[in-house]
Amino acid sequence: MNEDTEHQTSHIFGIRYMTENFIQGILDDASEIKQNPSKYAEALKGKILSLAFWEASTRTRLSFESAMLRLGGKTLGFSSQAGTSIEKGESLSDTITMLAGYSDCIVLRHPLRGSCKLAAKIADKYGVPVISGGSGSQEHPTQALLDIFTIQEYHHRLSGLNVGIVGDLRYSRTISSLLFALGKFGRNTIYYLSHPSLHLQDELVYDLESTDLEMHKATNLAEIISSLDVLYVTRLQKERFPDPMLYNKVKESYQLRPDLMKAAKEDLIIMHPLPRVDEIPYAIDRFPQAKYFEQAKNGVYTRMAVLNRLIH
Amino acid sequence: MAKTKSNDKQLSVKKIDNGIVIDHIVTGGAFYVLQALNIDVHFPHSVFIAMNVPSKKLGRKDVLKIRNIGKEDLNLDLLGLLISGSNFICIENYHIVHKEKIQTPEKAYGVIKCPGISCITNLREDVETEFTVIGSNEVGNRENLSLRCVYCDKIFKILENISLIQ
Repeated sequence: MNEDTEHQTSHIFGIRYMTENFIQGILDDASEIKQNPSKYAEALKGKILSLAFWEASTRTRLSFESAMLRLGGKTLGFSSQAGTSIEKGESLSDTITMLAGYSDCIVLRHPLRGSCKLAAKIADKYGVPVISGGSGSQEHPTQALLDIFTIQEYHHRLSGLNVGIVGDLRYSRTISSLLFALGKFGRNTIYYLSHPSLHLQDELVYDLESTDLEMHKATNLAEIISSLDVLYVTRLQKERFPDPMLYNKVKESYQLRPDLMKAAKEDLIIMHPLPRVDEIPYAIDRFPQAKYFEQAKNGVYTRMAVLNRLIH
Repeated sequence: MAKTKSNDKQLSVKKIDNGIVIDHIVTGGAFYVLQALNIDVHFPHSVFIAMNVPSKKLGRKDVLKIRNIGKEDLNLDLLGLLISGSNFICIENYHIVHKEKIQTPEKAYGVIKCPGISCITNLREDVETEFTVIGSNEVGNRENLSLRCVYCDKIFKILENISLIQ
C-alpha cells in the first residue's frame, strides 16, 4: 500500500506517486462505504486524527473531520496559524513532531510546496501517516480521489473521456492532481482553457508528457462544450492577476453561462472543487448536469476510505 | 598558469606535490568549478588553472590543479553536476594515489539551494535539499542538465543557478 517506497509508513502527498491499483482500491472502498456506512461506524474507534491547517479550508477540513467521526474516531487540530505556536515562529518540523505524538494520522494543509513531503519524512520516524490536504500549488490528492470517484460514479469508467478544464490551471492544486489521476487510467482527452497567465505549470506539462493524456488547448467554452463528458471548472483567483481591471475583463470568458448548456450532452457532468464565485452562476445549479455538490459530498466517503486504509 | 613549450605542440603545466588535479574538463568547466567551490583570492592554497588548452580527446579542454586539498574536501556529486566525464586525480608526493572519472549523480543532496520561491526547503526548517538529476551533462550537453527538487518539483538548470550552490 505504500505509495512511496522511500517511506516506511503509507503517506499521501501526491497522486503522481500512487499506483493505479492503489487508487482503484480507494475508489472501491469509498463505493462500499457509501453503500454501507453503518458497517464502518466503529472502524477507527479510539483513534485520533490531527487536522493541521496552516491555510483556510472549509470542505477539506470539515469533510476529513466528518469522515473521521463517521469512522468512530476523534479529531484535534487547528485551522489557522492564529493562536498556535506557529505564530511564535515554530517550524513545520517541530509542529509535525509534536502532532505525531498526539495522534494516529495527520492531515496537513500548508502554503508552501513540498511541505507535505517534509512532514511525511518527519512523521515517518514515528510511524504516523501524513495526508496532504494541499501543499502550495503542488497537489491536492484527496480532492482528485473524490473527483474521479464522482466521475466513475456517473460515467462508470475513467478512460476514453473528454474532459474540459477551465479557469486557473496554474495555481489550482486540484487541477494538477486531477490530471495526474486521469493520466493513470489510460487514454483521456483534455481540453484546457485559461488566461495565458494562468496556464499549466511547466513542471506539470513535463510530467504529463509521460502519460496517455491527449492535451488540447481550447479558445472558448462554446467550441468544446458539446464534446465534453466532464467539465471541471475552477475559480479564477482575483489576487493572481497583476491588474484587477484585467481580472474583471477576462472573468466572463471563463464563465459557464446557462445559454452554453444548450449544446451540452445530457450525460455531461459539471464539477467544481468549490468554493465557486462567478464562474458558475446559480442558474447552472438547476441543470441536471450540475454535480458539484454531490462531488463535495463524495469527499466524505473517499476520505473515509483513505483514513481507513492508512490508520492502523 | 598554463605555458606551452617552444615547439608549441606540448602542453606543460606545473606539477604539484600534493593535492588534486582535474583533467579533461570540457572548456569553460573550470570556471564553473571555481565559482561552485567559491575559490577566490582568499583561498588559502595554490590553484593552477589552464583554460582552453589543446586536447587530443576533446580538441580543447580545461585543467585545474589545487594544492593541499584531498578528495574529502570536495563534493564529487557537485562536480558531477558541472564537469562530469572529467578525470579526478589525487596526488601525494608527486605520485598519483587515486584516479576516477567524475560521474553525473542520479541524485544530489545539499549541494544547492532550491530556486523555488515557494519551496519548503527555503523556510527556516532543518532539512537538506534533495534533487533528482534530469538529463546528462556529458560532453556537449552540459547546458541542458537540470535538477528537480524532490520537495517542490521545481525543475531548473544548475548552470543558471550557480550562485545558489552551498
